Amino acid sequence: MSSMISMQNVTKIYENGALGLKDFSIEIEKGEFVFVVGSSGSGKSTFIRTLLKEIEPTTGEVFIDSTGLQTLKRKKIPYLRRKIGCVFQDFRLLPSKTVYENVAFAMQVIEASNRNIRRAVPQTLALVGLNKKANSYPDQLSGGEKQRVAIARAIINKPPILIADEPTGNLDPDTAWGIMELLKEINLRGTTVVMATHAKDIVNKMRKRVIHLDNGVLISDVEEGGYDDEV
Amino acid sequence: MTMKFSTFKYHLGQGTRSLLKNGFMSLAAIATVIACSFILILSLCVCMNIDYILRQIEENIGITVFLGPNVTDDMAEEIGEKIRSIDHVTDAVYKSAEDNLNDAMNSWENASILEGLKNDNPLPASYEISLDGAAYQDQVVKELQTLQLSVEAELNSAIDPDSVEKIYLDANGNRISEKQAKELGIAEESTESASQTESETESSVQMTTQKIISNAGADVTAAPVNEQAQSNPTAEAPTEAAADQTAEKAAQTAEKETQEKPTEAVTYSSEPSKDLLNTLDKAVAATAGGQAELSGSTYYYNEKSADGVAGINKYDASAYGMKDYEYKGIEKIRHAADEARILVRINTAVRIFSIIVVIILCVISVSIIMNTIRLTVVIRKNEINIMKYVGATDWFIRWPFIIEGMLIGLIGSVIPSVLCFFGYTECLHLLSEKIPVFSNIAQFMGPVEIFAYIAPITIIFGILLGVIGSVSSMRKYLRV
Repeated sequence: MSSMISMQNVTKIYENGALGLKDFSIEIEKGEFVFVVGSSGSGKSTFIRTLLKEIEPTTGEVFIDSTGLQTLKRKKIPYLRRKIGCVFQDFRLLPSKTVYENVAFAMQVIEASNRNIRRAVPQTLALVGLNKKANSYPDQLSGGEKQRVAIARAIINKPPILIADEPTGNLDPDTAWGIMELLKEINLRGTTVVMATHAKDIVNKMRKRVIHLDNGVLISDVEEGGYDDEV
Repeated sequence: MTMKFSTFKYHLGQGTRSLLKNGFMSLAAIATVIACSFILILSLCVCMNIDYILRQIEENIGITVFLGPNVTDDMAEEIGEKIRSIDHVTDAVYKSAEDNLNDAMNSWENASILEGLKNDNPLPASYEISLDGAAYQDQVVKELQTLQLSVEAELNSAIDPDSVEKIYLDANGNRISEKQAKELGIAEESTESASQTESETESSVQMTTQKIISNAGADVTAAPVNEQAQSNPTAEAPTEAAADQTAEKAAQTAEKETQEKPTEAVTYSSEPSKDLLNTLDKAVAATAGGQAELSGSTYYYNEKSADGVAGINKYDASAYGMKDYEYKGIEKIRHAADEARILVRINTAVRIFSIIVVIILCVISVSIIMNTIRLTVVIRKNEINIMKYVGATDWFIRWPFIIEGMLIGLIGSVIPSVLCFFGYTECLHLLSEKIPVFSNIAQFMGPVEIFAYIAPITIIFGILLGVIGSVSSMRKYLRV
């Protein structure tokens, strides 16, 4: 099993009876860029949360970089999450910390040395184009800038996988494109990117692999697909 | 759980910052810990002082073992060793008869009354035994009683009945032969002992008294006679045959009881002494290591016969017309088990009470600290969430909160410790100044002495409260 992400016959039924995923299987190889599309409640979030072991699938197996999540101990979850960078629609930055501190925070958490932090943070901020804003606080930044900070934080530990949950949801189209360019750049550097979105135009223009979910069921999985492609 | 220094610095910074940022709640939590620590310190002060005073009393109600009057120094030392080897005995201090007399003289106002006893000390040597707790009195006394019996049995079994020596003394305390003793008519005068023979056949413990009236009637007080038959080869040691005859004679004596035939000082020594001496005052037949208390012309002795020993000695005793008595290593054990029991009960009650108080305090403080820290956890919920996504371990997330709790506990316990230290010093000072009589009744622990215990206990207690409060308050938020 050399896939970066592998799900086999995963079914998730929540405690309230809602269906998250139904008999869902997928393989995502290293270095791929994958869009996960579908309307609200189609199972996109369930898919992402299952990858992060935030929730347990009712049945089925999940492997991240050949690690089986079903047998992973609670204590080991932090180490799984260090392999997966996360970017969210609402940015989730710490308002009391500067841009620099927010990014450095991710490295402090994994107990990196101060020397490594001082070297890596400016590099990453330069990559996302924010090295001039290092000492600003999040509320002094625009939406696009905030998302760049979040992306910088997600990739600073060089995880093999980057998961973005509607990263352009709160952004205007121009800014959104800037973020997409950044994600494409990160993908080109070897990171596997999984992005959940409803942004049709972005999906259509990028011509990447598209996984279409509806009511927890995989309806299509197309290489270089568009948003509305059928099987 | 190794932690890098940079990480530790990060946690310390986070914890302190959180403490300062939530100033009001932190102050409330610290105030609670101060209140609890204060009560803890007070109850510790009371309990430790009661304990301290009780221990002083305990020391005064130790056990005293009185040795037999003729115990040699070697034996005393041996007995001392055996006493020290008993569990819970912390020390056994030897006091010679002279020491005891001096003590008695020192404690009496009219010491001169006792002056006269200096040359003829009636007091026994003793061992003052201290224990590591009054609770063990009963146990130790039981051990001592066993020791008493074993010492006795050991020493008595060492006596060979055939080598028993008979000594006759005249009025001046000089030794004479038994023939002379007979001539002098001591035997005829000593008749009462015949009646002993029958009762002696019962092997149980007996107390008998014999009286021998001397012909001289002189008021001679002789020191206890200690003569070992083995060390006195010239003595009139009866041969085996003689012993047998002695036995026969003893039987006859029993029959002749009603005729009031003389039974005393009838000896069958194969080697009668040739010594010729003056008038006879006393006839003493001393067994090896035996003890006789001579007082005037009358002497008494007690016999406590043990199995076997009694059987052997019976004949000798009747034949010599004297009750044989046994060696006593330990004369008496004086103890205060009842008093000790009361003390132990008071002590237990005080301890139980203070434990209950402290437990109640702990519950109160932990719940207040939990609430305080839960607030800071809620405030930092987003941060915890982000930390979880970035891959922070549970412990990494916990540490700042633990440090915050520790700081709350530390500040909350150090402040009352310091205040109470000075308060306690001042209280002792005032007490000794205003009510000087008090120091006669009870001695309190010194402030440094008591706070050397109390301060660390309180600070550890405070820090633990803080840590328990913080860890338990954030458990819910770690499940992301």
